[in-house]
Amino acid sequence: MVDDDARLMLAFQAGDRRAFEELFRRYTPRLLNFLARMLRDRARAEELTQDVFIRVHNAARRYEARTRFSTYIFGIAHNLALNDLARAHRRREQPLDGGNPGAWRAPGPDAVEQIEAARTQEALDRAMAELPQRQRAALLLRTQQGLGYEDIAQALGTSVASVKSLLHRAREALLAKLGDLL
Amino acid sequence: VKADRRIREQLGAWLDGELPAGQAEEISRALERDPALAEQLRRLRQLERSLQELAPIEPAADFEARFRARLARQRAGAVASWRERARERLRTAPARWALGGVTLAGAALALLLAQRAPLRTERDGDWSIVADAERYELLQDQDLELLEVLEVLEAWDGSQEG
Repeated sequence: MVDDDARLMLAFQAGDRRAFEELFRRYTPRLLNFLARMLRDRARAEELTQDVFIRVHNAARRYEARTRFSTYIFGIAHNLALNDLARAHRRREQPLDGGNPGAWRAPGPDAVEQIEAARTQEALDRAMAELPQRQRAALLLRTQQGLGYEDIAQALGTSVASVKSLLHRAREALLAKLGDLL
Repeated sequence: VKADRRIREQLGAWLDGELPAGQAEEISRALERDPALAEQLRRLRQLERSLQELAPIEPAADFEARFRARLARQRAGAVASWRERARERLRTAPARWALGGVTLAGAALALLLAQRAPLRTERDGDWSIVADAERYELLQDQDLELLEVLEVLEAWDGSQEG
């Protein structure tokens, strides 16, 4: 199955530079959000987002549309994130921005609702950061990127049964940590 | 207890629409009769909404410009190293062409002989004709690549001068 994004990649492979620009436009926010929440470091997430596109750019001649394009590109992003986390762990570096992956979205109209929403988001972000890396990746790919289990399994290099288990454990952990906030 | 635990474990996959029809039906029936499971589903839905509402992270204003600069630097580096390799190949080109000529002649002679006499099997021993033919093709490929490099270098020099 060749999806719309894979068609763009094939067009880029055939020499259409605008196709790459379109992919860059479509996937920059998605990759950045995924990587920022994986790494908890916004500046590093931007660098890795660029690394992903450079890899996609350089590998264009070898590209084959064997999976959905989103599976392909998030697979690259996930591998880069794991490598980066492993390097950071070895260096025992702490994120420079205090672990906040980005600015909060403007909350609802009511002041109390705003405070509640901010509290929930802050607690959720903290709880997400404490999840094991693969659980976090599976959950982000599912809930924020809308990938199906089969696509997540391919992106993470695992089985659908394993994805089901990763998601279940991640959700149970978050529910336990968030307690009364939900 | 075991069945309840299994159903609870599958609730997320049910919510994601990732269960086969039979299992999904089983979860639906369990939700109707088990208030605790229904409460678990409510909390899972709330968690899902909260995850989707997490603040989106926007790229910095100069993100695209920085990417273009990185790509340009990388390409310039690749072209520079390509030019260096091409120069090295050009320095050794006369010897290569001479070797190519000799091999070409040898391959042509071998092919001529091959047309006269059918190839023998490996068991019979001699695959030199086939090997020569393969070398001939490889040589051709290398020469084509060299010409391509020359063309690209000319185009590159032209653009630099322009």
